[in-house]
Amino acid sequence: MASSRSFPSIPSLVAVSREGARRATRAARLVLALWLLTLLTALPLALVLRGALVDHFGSSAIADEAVRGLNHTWWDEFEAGADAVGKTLTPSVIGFAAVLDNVSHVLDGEGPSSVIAGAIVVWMLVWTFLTGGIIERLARDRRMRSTEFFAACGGYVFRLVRLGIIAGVAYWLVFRVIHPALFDTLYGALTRDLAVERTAFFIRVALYIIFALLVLLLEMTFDVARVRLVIEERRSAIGAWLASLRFLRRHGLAILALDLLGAAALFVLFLLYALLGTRGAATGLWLVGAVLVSQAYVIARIWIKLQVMAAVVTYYQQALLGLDPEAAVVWPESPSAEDAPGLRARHQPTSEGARERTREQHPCAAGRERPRRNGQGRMGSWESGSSSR
Amino acid sequence: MVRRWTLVMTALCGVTLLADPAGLLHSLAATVTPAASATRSHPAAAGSQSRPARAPTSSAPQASSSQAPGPRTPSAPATTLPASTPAVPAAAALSPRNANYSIDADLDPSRHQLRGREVITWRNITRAPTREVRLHLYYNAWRNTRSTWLRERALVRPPLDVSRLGPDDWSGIDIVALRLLGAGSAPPIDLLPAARFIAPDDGNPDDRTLMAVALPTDVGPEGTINLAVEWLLRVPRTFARTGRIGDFYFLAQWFPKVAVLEDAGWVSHQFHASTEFYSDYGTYDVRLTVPTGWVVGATGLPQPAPAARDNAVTTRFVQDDVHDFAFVASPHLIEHNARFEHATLPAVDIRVLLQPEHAGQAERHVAATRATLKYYGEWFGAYPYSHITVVDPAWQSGAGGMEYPTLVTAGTEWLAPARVADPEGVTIHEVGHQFWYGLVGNNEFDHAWMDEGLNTYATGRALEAAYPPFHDSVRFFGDFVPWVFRHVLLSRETDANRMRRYRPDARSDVPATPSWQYHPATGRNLTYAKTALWLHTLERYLGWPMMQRVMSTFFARYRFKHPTPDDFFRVASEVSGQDLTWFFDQVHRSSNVFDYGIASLVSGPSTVSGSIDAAPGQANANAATAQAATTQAATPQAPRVVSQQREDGVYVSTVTVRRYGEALFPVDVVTTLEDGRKIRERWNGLERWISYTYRGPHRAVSADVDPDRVLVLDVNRTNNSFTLAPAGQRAANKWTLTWVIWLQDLMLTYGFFA
Repeated sequence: MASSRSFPSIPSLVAVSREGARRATRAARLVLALWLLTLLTALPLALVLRGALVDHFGSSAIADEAVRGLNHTWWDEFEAGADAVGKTLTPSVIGFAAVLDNVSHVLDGEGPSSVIAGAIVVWMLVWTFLTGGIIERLARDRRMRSTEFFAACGGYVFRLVRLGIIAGVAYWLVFRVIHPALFDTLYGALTRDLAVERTAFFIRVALYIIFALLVLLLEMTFDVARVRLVIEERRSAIGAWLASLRFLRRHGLAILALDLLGAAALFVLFLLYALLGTRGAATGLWLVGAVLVSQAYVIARIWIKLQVMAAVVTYYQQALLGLDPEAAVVWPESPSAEDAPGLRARHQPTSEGARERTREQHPCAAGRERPRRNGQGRMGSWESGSSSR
Repeated sequence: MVRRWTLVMTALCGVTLLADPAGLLHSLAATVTPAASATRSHPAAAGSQSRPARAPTSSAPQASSSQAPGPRTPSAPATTLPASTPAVPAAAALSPRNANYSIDADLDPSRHQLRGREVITWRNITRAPTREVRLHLYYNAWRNTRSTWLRERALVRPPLDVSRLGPDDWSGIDIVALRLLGAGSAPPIDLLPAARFIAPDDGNPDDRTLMAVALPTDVGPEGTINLAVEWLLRVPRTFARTGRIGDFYFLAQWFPKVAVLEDAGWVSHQFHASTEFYSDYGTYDVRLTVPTGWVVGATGLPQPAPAARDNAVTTRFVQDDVHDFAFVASPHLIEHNARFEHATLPAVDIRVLLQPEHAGQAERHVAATRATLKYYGEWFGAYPYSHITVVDPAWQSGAGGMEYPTLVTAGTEWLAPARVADPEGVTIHEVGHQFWYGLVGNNEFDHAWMDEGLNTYATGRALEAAYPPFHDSVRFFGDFVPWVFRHVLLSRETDANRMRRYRPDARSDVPATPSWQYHPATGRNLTYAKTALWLHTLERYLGWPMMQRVMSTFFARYRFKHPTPDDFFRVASEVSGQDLTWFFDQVHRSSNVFDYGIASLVSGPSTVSGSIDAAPGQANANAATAQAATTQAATPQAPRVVSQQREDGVYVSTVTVRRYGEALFPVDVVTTLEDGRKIRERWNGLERWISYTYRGPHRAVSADVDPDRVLVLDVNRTNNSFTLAPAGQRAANKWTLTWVIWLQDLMLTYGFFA
C-alpha cells in the first residue's frame, strides 16, 4: 500500500478506523482527563455566570419558574442586565440546540464574544500543549505514566505551537478571505435576485459543503503534520507541514476517508444527542440524568476526536513501516518520552538484539536516523522530493 | 351614478388612455361636468350647523353619490362602452369618499417601470377653503441618499448598505403631467409649473416626497376638484415593503396620493423612516396591466373578463370606502381560495396568493385569517368588505408583514414548523390591520400607536384565543434551519406584547410625541410594544368585558373616520365610567417606566426589648427582627427592662414594597403565610415605599406585589416577589450546568482546528 497511489480498500480503512477506535478506547483515562479539562476550562466563566444568576434571582420566587424551565419573562430580564458572559445564556444553550448553534456559528463565520473567545483560546492552547502527549499515547498504544505523558507534551509543545501559528494564519485566511468570498460575495451574487428560499438554501448548503471540505482538507494537512512532527520528532513545523503535504499527495484519499468515517461517527453522535439531550425543562433526577447524558455526549465527542487521531496515527505508522493496513503495529518509545528523567534507563533495550529489533520496527528510532535523509528506502517510496527540517 | 362613472372611466381610461394618454386627458377634461368646478360654497359658510371635521355626516352618502369619483359624463352613451365592460354595483357609502382615484397602470417588468395615469377626484370636507392641494410622492423616498427617509434610516442599526445597490435598485416617481380638469368644456389647467416640493418637517431641500400644488382658485368646503396626473415610476429593489425581487412585484404607495386636509390645514408630512401613512377614504377604480400569465392581487375585487392585448392583460379592481390601494404581480403566485363564515358576521371570501414553495402552508394562512375575522369581528365589529387577499411575499422581497385595504402581506419560511407562530402571528397582525388602520383610519404619521399598538395588543389576544401557546424557536445556518424549543412556550404578556423590545427603549420617547419625530431606531418599540403593554394592562385593570366594550365602542364610533388619541382616551373613560386620565398621563404623556418590587420580607418570632409595663403587650419595643432572644432576669417590680424577649407563638412579618420606577399604578400586595393563608393589601402606589407588618401565629413565607400581573407594563417581574425559601441557587445551578455543556461543545467545535 505504501508504495502505491492506489486508494486502500474500504475494509482496510475500516480496519484502520477500528484500530483507531481500539486505541482511543484503551486511552480511556486520557479521554476522561480531556473531558475534565473541558470542565475546568469552562469553570471560571461558569462561576461568573452562576454568580450573576444568583444575584439576579436573589430571593425572588421567579427562581421557581427558572428551575422548572425557561421562559422569556425571567430570561429577558436577566439578559437585560447581564454582562458579556450572561448574555450568552440564550435558549440556544439548551440541549442539541447548543450543537447546532456552535456549528452554525462556525460555518457562518460568526465568532464568539470576546469573553467566550478567551475560553476557547485557553482550550486550544491546552490542547496544543497536550497534543504531543496524546499522539505519543495513541502511537504507543499503551498506558503512559503522567510523567511520561507530560514529558512528551513538553517535548513537542513549542514545535506544535509553531505549527499552530501556521495553522492560525491559514485559518485566519480561510475565515477572513475565503469565507467572505464564498458566503458574502459569491452567495450574495448567486442569490441577489433570487426570490425562492429553497433554492437559496440549497446554494448555501453547497457552499457549506465546499467550505467544510476546504477546512477539512486544510485540517488534514495539519493533523498529519502533527503526527509526523511527533512521530518523526521533527523540529521544523514548516518542514512537518510540507512533509504532510507530500504524504497527503499519495495518501490524501485514505486520510480523508478516515476523517469522513470520524465525521460519520460524529453525525451519529449528534443524532443520538438530539434524541436524548436535555430540553431545558428537566428538574430533580431528570436534570441529573440530562446533565449526565450531556456529559456523556461531551466524552463521546472527545473520544471520536481521539479515534480519528488514532486512526491517522495508525495509518501513518503502517505506511511508514510498509505494513498492510490490517497488520498490528508495534511502536517503540519516542525519543521525547525516553528523554524524560528516569525513563531512559527503563526503556533502554536490554540487549543488542533488542536494539536491532527496535531498528527494524521503527526506522526513525535507529540512532535518530531519518529515512528520508538518504532519499531511499521505504520513506522514499511514498514521499517524493526533499524535505526540510 | 357611481356605476355610470365607472363604466365611462373604463371605456375612456382603460382603452383609449393607454393608447394616447395625453390626448385622452384632454378628452376627459372636456367631459367634466360643471358640478366638478373648483370651488363650492360650504353650508357652514352660509351659517348652517357645523359638524365634526372628519366625520361623515348623514348627508355624506348622498354627497358621495352625487359626487362620485372622477369626471362624470352624464351624456356619455352606454352604447360606447365595450361589450365586455363589467358592471360594478353601486354600494351604499360607508365613508366620506372624498378622495377617489381612477387609475390606469401599466407595469413593464423588463424596465422595472410603471406608467400611470390617474384622475383624482377630491372633495374638501373641512370647514375651510384651500388654495392648494398636496400630493404624496412616496417613491421619491428612495431616489437617493439625500431623502429624509434614507437620512433617518441611517440612524438605525444595522444601517442599510446602499453600496450594494445597483443603478436599477433606486426608485423614483416623476410627474409627467398634472392638470386641473375644468368644468364643462373648459380646458384643463396645467398645474405642473405651480407645483413644488416641500419639506415641512425638516426643511430638507432634497426631499421630494411631498408636493404642494397651487390651485388657481380656492376649493371651498364641499368643493370638488379633478386632478389628472401622469407619472413614471421606477420600481426599486424593495424599500419599506414596496418594490421588486426577481419577477415578484409588490407595489404600494406607488401613485400620487392626495394628503389629508383637516380644519387646521393640511396634515401632510414627508415620508419618514419611522412612520407610515394617512389618507382619506374613497373609491378606487384601478386598471392594472401586467404581462400575460402573471397573477395579480390587489385591493378591491377583480372584475371579470380581463382585457388582453399585446402579451399583456389588464385587470380592473374596484373598491369603495378604502384609503389606499396596493397590488402584487408575479407569474409564480399560486392561488388558494377559502371562505369565512360565521353565525353573526358577514361572510368573507379569502384569497391567498402563495409562493409555490409555501403551497403546503395555505391552510395555515387561511386559518389565521379566519381567526382574525372571527375574533376581531366578535370583539370589535364586523369586517365590512366581502373579500380579503393575503399575499405570501417572495423570499428577499422585503414586502412581508404589511397592511393595505383588503390586501395584506404575511410572511413565512420554507421550513416553518407547526408550533412556531409564523405565518400565524404575522397573518393575524396584518389581517387585524383591516380593523385598526383600514376601518379606523388614524393618522399614522402622528399617532402610529393607534393602529400598530392597538393591533399588536389585539393580535396577542387573538393568538391566545385561537391557538395553544406557540414555542420559541431560533434559526441556524444562515437563518434557514429552524430549531424549536418545545419546552419554551411563548406568553402573551411577555412575548406577544414585545416586552423584550420595549424594555431597553422604554424611556426613548414620550408616546404623545408625533410618531414621525420618534427616534427612528427606537420608535417602533414604543409604537408597537408599549401600546400593547399598556392596553393589556388596561384590560386587566378594567376586566376584559369592560375593555371589550371600550374597544368596540371606539371601533363603532370611529369606523371610516380619523380618530385622535384623545378620542380613544375619551371613549375609554366614558365607557368604563371612570376618569382614566391618570392612566393615560402615565402611559401616553410620559416616558416613565413602571417597576414595583418587594424590597424585603422579614419574618420571625416576635421579640421585645426595652422597658415593659406589667401588663402584657405594652412593650416599648424598638426591635422585632432578631432571631435569638435573651431575657434579662425578671424583676418583681414593673416596669421591667428586657432585651429581645421572645413572645411565644407569635411571629412578626414585615413586608416592604418599593416603587422603583417613576410611573404610578395601584397594585396589590399579597403576603403568604406558612399555613397557606394569603393577606392581600391594596396600595395606591403613589409613595416611594410602603411597609406592612403582621403579627400572628404563623410566619410569612413569601410576598408578591401585583401577583396577578395586572401591571403588564412592569419592566421587572423578578423583583415583584420575595420568598424566604428562595430557589435562586438551584435555578442558577441548573442553568449554569446547561450553559457549561454549551461551552464545552463550543470548545470542542473549535477544537477541531487544534
